[in-house]
Amino acid sequence: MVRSSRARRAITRDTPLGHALIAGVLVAAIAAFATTLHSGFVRLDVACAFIALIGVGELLQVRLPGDRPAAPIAASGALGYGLLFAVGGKPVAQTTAQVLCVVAAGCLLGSVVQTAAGRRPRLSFVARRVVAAVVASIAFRATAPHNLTTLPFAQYKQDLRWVALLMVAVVALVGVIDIIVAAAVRSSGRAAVFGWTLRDEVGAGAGLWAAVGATGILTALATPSMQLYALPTFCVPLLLTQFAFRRYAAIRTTYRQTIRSLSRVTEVGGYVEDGHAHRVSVLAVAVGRELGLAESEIVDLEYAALLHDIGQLSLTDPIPGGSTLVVAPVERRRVAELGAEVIKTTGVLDRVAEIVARQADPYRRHREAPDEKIPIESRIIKAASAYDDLVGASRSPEVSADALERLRLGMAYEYDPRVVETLTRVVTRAVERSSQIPA
Amino acid sequence: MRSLPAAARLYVCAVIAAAAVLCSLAVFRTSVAWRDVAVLAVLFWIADSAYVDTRMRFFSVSTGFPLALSAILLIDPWGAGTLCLVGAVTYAKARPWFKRLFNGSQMAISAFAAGSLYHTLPGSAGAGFTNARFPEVLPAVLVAGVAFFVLNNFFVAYAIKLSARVSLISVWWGGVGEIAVSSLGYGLIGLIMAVLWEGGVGPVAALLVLAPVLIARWAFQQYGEQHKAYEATVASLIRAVETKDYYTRGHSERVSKASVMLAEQLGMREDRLEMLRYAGMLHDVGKLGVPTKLLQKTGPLDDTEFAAIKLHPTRGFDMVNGISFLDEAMLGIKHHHERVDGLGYPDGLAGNDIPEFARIIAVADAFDSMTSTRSYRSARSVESAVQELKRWAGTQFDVVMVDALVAAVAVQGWDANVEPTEEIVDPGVLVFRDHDDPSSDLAGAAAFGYRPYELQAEVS
Repeated sequence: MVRSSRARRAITRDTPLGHALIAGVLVAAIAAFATTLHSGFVRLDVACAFIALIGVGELLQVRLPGDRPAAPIAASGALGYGLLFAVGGKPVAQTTAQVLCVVAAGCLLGSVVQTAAGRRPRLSFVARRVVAAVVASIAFRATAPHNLTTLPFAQYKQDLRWVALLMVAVVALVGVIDIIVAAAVRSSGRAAVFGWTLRDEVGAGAGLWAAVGATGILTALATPSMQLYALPTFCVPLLLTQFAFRRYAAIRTTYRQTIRSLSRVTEVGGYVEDGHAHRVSVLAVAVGRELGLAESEIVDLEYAALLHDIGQLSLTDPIPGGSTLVVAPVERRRVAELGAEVIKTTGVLDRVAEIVARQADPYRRHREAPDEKIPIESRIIKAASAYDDLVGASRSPEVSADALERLRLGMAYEYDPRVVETLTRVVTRAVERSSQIPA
Repeated sequence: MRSLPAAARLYVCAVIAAAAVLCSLAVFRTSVAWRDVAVLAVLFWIADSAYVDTRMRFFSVSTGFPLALSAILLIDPWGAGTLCLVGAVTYAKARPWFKRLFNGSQMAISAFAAGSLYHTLPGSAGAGFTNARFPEVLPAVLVAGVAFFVLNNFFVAYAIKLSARVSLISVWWGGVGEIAVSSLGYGLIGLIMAVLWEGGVGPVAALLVLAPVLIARWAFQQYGEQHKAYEATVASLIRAVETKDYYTRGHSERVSKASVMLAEQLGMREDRLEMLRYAGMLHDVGKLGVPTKLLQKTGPLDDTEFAAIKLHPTRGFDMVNGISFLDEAMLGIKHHHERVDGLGYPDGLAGNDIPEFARIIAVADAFDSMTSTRSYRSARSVESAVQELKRWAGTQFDVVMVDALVAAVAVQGWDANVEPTEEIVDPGVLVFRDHDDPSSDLAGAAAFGYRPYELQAEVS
C-alpha cells in the first residue's frame, strides 16, 4: 500500500523540533547516567524490572487513528517508575536523574531490538515518553509530602488517597504537556498549522492517554503492597485494551482500502479514464496537506476525491471520454449532486457528501464576492480533477505546464487562487523530482 | 417467560429462588460490611450499565466482571452474592424482566460459591484483603476468578441449552473460550482494585481502575461504529452500482444473506462469516465492466458477447484486490461461476479445487436469482427453486452446499424478492437474460457453454 505509507510518513515525519527533542533527551540521559553512577543506584533490582517492562512495552506498539504509533505499556511503565515511592512496604527514593536513566535505558533497549528486527523505531515518539515520565517525576516529587519516600509504607496508608489525587493531578498536567509537545513537534517548520495539529492530537491521543496515565498511577500505588508482581498484573488489562485499539485501527484501514477499491467502479464502468479517481485523490491530498488541513479533514478529502465522480453511475450514458471538464457546467453540477446523494445514503459520510456536492461550484460568480460557504476541500477537488482531466496519465512537463496555465486562466472565477497556487507548487515539485530520475 | 420450554422455565425459577434464599439469609449475617457492599454495588452498576455493541459475538468487554471479582476478594461471600444481585437487577439492558432477574441471580450464586471457595483456600487474605501477602495470595485469587467465571458461564450456557434445545458443548464452544481471555484478563483489575481498596486509596481507586476498562470499552464501541459505517458504505455503493447496471435490485444483499445463512448451517467461524458477507455483497461488482446493453440483451448471445460476460468475476476480483481484509472473499468473487464438474468459468476449476466461498456463493446466487421476479418471468416458489438446486447438485453445485442452504431455508425461511422490478413480458420471447439462473432456457444454457449431455440431464 503505497498510499498508506505516504500517510504514515506525514505523521511521523522528522521535523527540526523532533530532532532537537531526540538529541536533548539523549544528552540529558547520558548526563543523568553519569550523575547516578556517581551517587549510586537506588534499588537496582526495581530499576532493572522497570527497564525490562519498558523495553518489552516498546516492542508492543499499536497504531492509533491517523497512523500514530503508541506504546501504551512502555508509556505507563515509564510513568509508573516516575511516580514510584515504595516497593513491598519499603520506601524507594530514586532521584529524578535515575528515573531519566532507567526510562531512557528501557526505551533504548526496545528501540535497539526493534532496529535489529528491521523495524524503524519512531525516535521522537520514544523521546516524548521519556520526557513525560521525567516531568511527572519532577512534578510529583516537588509536591508530594517529603517523608513519603523516607517513612515505611505502613505509616502512610491513611494518607494514600491524597497521594493518589496528587498523582492524578500530576498525570493530567503531564498529559496536557505531552499533547502540546506532540503538536509542536509535528508542526515545527510549519508554524501556521499548530492550532490544527493540536486539535488533531487531542482528538487522537486523549483517550489512550487517560488509560495509560491511570495505569501508571495504579502501578505506583499498588507496588508498595504488591511488590513487583504489580508489573505483569497491569500489563494484561492494558494489552487487552491495546487489542481493542488494534481492531479499531484494522477496520479503519479496511474502510479506506474499500473506498479506494470501490472508487474504481466508475473506471471499470467506462465512465471516466482509468486511474482518474486515484490520481485526483493523491493530488488533492498533497494539496490539502500543503494547505495545512487536519488529519481528519485529509481523510474526508481523500474519500471525497476518490468518490467525486460516483454520480456518473446515475447518468444514462457515460460522458464521452469521461472528462467532466469538457461538459456543460449544468451537467457537471448534476453529476456532483447525484454523487452526493449516493454518498449520503451511507448515513455516515455526510461531510464527504457535502464536499462532493459542492465540487462543481465556481469559486465566485461574475461581479459577486467569492462564496465562502464552499468547503476548501471542494475547491481542492475541483482544481485537482480539472488538472487531471487535462493531463491524464501523461508525465510530460509540457502537458503539465499547459494544464497549469489553463487553470491559472480560470483563477479568480472558476478556481480558488490559493488552491491553484498551492497545486502549482505541488505539481511543479513532482515534475522536477520525476525529471531528475533518469528514464 | 411463557415463550420458554417447561424445563427452562423450571430451571430459571429454581436459580432465582436459590438466589432469593441466599440474599434473605445474608441479611441476618453480622459479618457483612454493608457500607462496602453499597459502595461496590454502585461501582458495579456504573461499570456494567451502559450497553456497548461491539459487533463481536465472542469478544466483549465484561466491565462488571472485575468489580464482582474485587467484591469476592474484599467482602464476605454473603455480601458479594447480594451485591451481584443488586447490581444486575438495575442492569440497563433492554431485556425481559425474567432474563435480568435470572442474570442477577446466577451471578449472585456464582459469586457466593466462588467467594466461599476463596476463603477456604490456603493463602487467601481474609475479609477486607488486609492480610494479603504477595505472591502467596495469587493462586487463591486465580482459583476464585476461574471458579466465578466458570460457574457464571455454566449457568448461562445451561439456560441457553434448555431454551434453545442445543447441546451444552455447542453452546460452550460458541465463544466461551474467547470471553475467558478478556474476562480473566480484565479480572486482574479486580485484584488491583482490592489491593488499593485495602491500601486506603478509597473511591479514587475506583476512578483509576475504571479508566482502562472504560477506555477499552470506548475503543470497542468505536470499532463497532466504524464497522457499522463500513457495512453501510459498502451496501450503499453496491446499491448505487445496481441502480445503473443491474436489472436486479437488492440481488447482492440477498445473495450475501443467503450465503451467510448457508455458512452458519455449516458452522463457519465468525470472522470468516463476516468476510463471506462482504464476498456475497461484492460478488457481481465486476459486472460494471460488462456493457449494459449486453446484460439486457434480448437475443441469443454470440461468442464474443458471452466472453465479455464471462469476464465479470475476474473484473470483480481485480477491483477488490486492494482490500487486504477480504483475502478469502476475493477468491469467492473470482470463482463464483465455477461448476463442481469443472465446466464453469473463469478457470474451469472442479470439485474441491473451487474455493469454499465460491461454492457457497454459487448456490446462494442461483437460489436468489430463481426466487426473484425477472422481467421475463415471475419468481419461482422457494420449493421449486429448492428442487432445481437439488437437480443440479453434483454437476453445477456442491452437494454439501445445496443441502446446507436447503436446511437453512427450511429452518429460517426465505424472504424472496417477489416484487416485480419491471413489468412481466411474455416468456415466449425469452432468451437467456439471467446468467445466474441454472434453470434458464436451453438457448441461454447453450450460450453458456453447457454441453448437450447436461442439457439432457436437466430435461430428464
